[in-house]
Amino acid sequence: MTDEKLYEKLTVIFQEVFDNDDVIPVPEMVAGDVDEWDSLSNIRLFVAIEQEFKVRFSNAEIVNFKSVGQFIIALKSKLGLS
Amino acid sequence: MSGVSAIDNINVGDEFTNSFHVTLDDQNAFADVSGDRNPLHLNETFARSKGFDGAVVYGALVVAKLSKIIGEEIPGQNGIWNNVTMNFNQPVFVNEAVEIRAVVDHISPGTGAVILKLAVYCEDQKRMSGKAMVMFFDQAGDAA
Repeated sequence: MTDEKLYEKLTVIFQEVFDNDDVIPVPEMVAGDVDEWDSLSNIRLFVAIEQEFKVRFSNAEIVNFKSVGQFIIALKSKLGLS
Repeated sequence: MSGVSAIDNINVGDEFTNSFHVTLDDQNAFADVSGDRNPLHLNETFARSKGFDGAVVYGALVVAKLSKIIGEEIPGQNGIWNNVTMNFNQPVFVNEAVEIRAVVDHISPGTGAVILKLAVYCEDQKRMSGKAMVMFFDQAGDAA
């Protein structure tokens, strides 16, 4: 999977979870950048990503992600893309 | 009644059901609670005049019956119900035998969330479909 395809899929998920078509995930994005990004939507985000990419994240991984970029590095690793 | 004790004790494909039928008394009670007195739900003659086979069960009343599965079985007292979507594809009628089936579709140990795939059947005919997300409390008693 190319980076372009990965971001394309993530954009669909982010926009659906946050119900906001203006949200475009980029590496430097943090939760505070999105008004709708609260603890519950964070759970919905990870559940949606797990379902889309058939991966699992541990609680320790989730709480340690500080940016979308960090998360994408981990996702690509799980997908064997790194 | 306590429900599944922990997220580790469920598997994808596990099924939970609630079978029931809705009476006109149930409909009137729901009308009292909701304030929705649309005769489509309360008056069989009116409903038939609109082309239905009987008084149409409130969709939200069927969703309320899902609450028994989530509140008492998965996750029961060990978690909370986060969201639900339900498509009312075909009407359910008063006094029909109804079964809600909730099947575990996705387990996310990292978040404590479980996705349930929902289907509402009258005999073998699927009338409604949807999804719900529930979340188990962690060992400390907080939402995971």
